Amino acid sequence: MYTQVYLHDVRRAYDAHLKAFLQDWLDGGKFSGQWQDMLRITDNDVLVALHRAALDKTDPFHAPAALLMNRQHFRTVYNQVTAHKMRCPTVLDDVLAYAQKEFGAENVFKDHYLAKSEPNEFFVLTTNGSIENARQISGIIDNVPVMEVGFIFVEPSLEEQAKRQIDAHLKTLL
Amino acid sequence: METTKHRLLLAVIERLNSYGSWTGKTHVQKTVFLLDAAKKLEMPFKFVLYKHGPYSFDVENELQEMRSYGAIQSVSVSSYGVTLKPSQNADWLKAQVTLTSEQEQQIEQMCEFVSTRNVTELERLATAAWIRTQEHITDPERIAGRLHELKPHISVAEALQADHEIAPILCSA
Repeated sequence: MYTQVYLHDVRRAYDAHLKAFLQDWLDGGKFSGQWQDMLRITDNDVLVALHRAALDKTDPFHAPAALLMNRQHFRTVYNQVTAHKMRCPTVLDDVLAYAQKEFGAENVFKDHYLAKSEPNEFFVLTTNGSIENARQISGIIDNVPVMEVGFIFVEPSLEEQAKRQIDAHLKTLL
Repeated sequence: METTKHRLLLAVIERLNSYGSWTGKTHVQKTVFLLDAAKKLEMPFKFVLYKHGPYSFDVENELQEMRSYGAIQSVSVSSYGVTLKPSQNADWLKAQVTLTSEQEQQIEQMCEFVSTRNVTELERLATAAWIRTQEHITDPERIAGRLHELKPHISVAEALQADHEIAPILCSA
């Protein structure tokens, strides 16, 4: 559920485009560290700026805004799966390097998320009254499955060609 | 991918395994910390004093990534937690980064020291090492008092014993 919503590939592409827009649009490329200034910008302000920039081709922020507002988001051409990573641990970076060489760095980007591990350091009282480290008595706490996603995205007009070429390239990698 | 960090952690796991250690995450954490504290090796991980002694979020995250591509695996043993072991891509990692004989030797010596200890002992030893190296306290009585203050479940006598054991290792650097 969590991965299907928050780690969905299209959602991740939109996240990347929104970050790119905000880095261009915000003074200094980031939100202010002062909370009083931070409160002056709401979601509505960002949406209005996006809307105006997407409509006006002369707007300096038109390009990143249009990707978001006109459904021109970069398309997924490779989705890393565990079996690929097991056969080739660097598969995502290898596909990225290939795609950037073939289609230009400006037309390709990678998204990778590996959930950070939790320390889970705590003691538990056992039924016989002893106090033990939870890690030593539970097979679950130290063995939670790794949550990871990895995608390669390309500019929309390159989608079909990139998919064909990457599929062929994967056969040489795996 | 931080292959150098992964290679060091793999070496620790392999050596702990070879000495018959349980090789849980705590053993790996404390071994890496003690190697760094004793200045045996420069270990590229940051540590903080956490609930059960020195702890590195870096180490935890790198172990997670190593599991993700099969350099190591967590093997669950019913009712006894999990133990870490090299896995199918351990050889791939070794081919990427070669350790020096000095690194191998230092890791081996520390793993021998850590291997038979349980997590409770490791908490005391590593925290005593933290007090000596991070708080720069060298008097055993003061170290024991400080350890007891930080970890009240560790008695002053246990703290003194822990410092007595760890001091020669730190001083031999």
